[in-house]
Amino acid sequence: MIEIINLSKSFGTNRILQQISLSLKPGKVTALIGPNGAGKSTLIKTILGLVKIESGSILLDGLSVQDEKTRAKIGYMPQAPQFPPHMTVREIIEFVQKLRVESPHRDMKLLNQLGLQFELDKPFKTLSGGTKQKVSAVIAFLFLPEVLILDEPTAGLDPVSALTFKNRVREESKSGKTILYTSHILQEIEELADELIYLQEGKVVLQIELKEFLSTYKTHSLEQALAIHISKQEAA
Amino acid sequence: MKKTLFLFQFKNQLRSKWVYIVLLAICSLSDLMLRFSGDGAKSILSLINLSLFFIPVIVAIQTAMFIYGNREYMELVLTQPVKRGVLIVQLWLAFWIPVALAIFLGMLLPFIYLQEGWPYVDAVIQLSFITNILAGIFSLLAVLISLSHDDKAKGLGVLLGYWLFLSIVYDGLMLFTIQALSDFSLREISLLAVSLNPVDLARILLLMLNNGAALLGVTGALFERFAGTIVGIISISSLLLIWFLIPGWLSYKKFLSKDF
Repeated sequence: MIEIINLSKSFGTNRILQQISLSLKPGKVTALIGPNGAGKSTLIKTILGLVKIESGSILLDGLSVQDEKTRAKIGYMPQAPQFPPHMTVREIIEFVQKLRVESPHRDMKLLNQLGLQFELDKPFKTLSGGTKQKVSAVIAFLFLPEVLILDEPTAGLDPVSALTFKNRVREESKSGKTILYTSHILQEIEELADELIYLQEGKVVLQIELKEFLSTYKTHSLEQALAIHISKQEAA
Repeated sequence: MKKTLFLFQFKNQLRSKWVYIVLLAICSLSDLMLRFSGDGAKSILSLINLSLFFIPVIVAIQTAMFIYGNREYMELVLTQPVKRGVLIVQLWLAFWIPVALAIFLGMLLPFIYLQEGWPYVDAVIQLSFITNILAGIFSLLAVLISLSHDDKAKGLGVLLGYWLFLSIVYDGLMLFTIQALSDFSLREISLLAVSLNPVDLARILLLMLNNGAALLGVTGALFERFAGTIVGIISISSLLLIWFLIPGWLSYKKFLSKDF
């Protein structure tokens, strides 16, 4: 479980995250959404230790995520993965395995499911955007991490691979993993998410079970429910 | 895990065309200078200008491009259980060692395969060593500047500004000051001023090593008179080492606290 307590972060005079407190529960897919500039990327990067915490704390099973050892429990899939261009897919996977030498488990199932076994000896620079995304997915799931942070994971994936990927996310969630998912495709969030966090101007304005949220506004469409919620908030 | 990052990046660098382009370019220039001058001593003097002026800026720009180009990769590695300090040190070494080898071999090879170069092999080894130190200083300055400026265009602009200042403007300012204040004794101040510029230090060291201090004008002669050749060489080498360590240490500290 990830617990975020009173997290704040500024860049210069820009206050990006303001007193954020929330928890990401195991066995649930939590979707993080919000308008551009709401602080989603900064929040994700702070959880990953890429952005230094200004005040507050982020704990994974009671340990600070700023400690690099804690990060062994996290699998991350970025929006645009990048690796040294001349290295092959096989070398990249071996490289990450060496970095995670203390993680005993290996799961190459996704590699075959996404058809990457045919791309193993190709240099990273020759891969298409979608294939690079597949490499990133395989690496994120490879060590069976307790926590998965998936940032726009299906961007660039073909429909079949996207479906395979989403099925895998569901499986991981059922097996008790904590999953944080961001996407601009609300339909995808409807399909996958159990919980919803809406971030606006660096503040959590909504943290609710997705089903509860949809039933509050008596709709099956997340887009519609959000539109009603935001307009009500603005009116108030 | 100890050398994993280094070896992975090093392998990638060895597969990159850029290292071989640097090697070929320096080798061709060294070859041409040796062939056309027909005199190893003259070609070494020409190579000194190349070493002091062009190689540092080319390496600095390439370093900055490397840091900017690998930003997402660094982010991805940092999401693994890897210490920040380990990442930046191994990444820079993996970038720097192939470049340093290319500079070394590029300068040296023509002096080995062309007979007129044979008597000057020692001198060219010294030259390539000092060129690598100077290029290393500029490379570390480039790391520091790239880590301090997220905007690539701004970072490259600042970097070129530093290079222009240290390579051209600084000497002009020094000359102007010495001339304007010619009524006063500026020996110590001149020595201090030279110490603040790695390009001047490298130039003086190279010429002192090649018994060319007389060609250095005021500052070189001062250094020689002040310290004598051996002590002068040691003190300049120490100053260059400090110049190497300061941007290296600042870059390291910057990387440890950087928000990506």
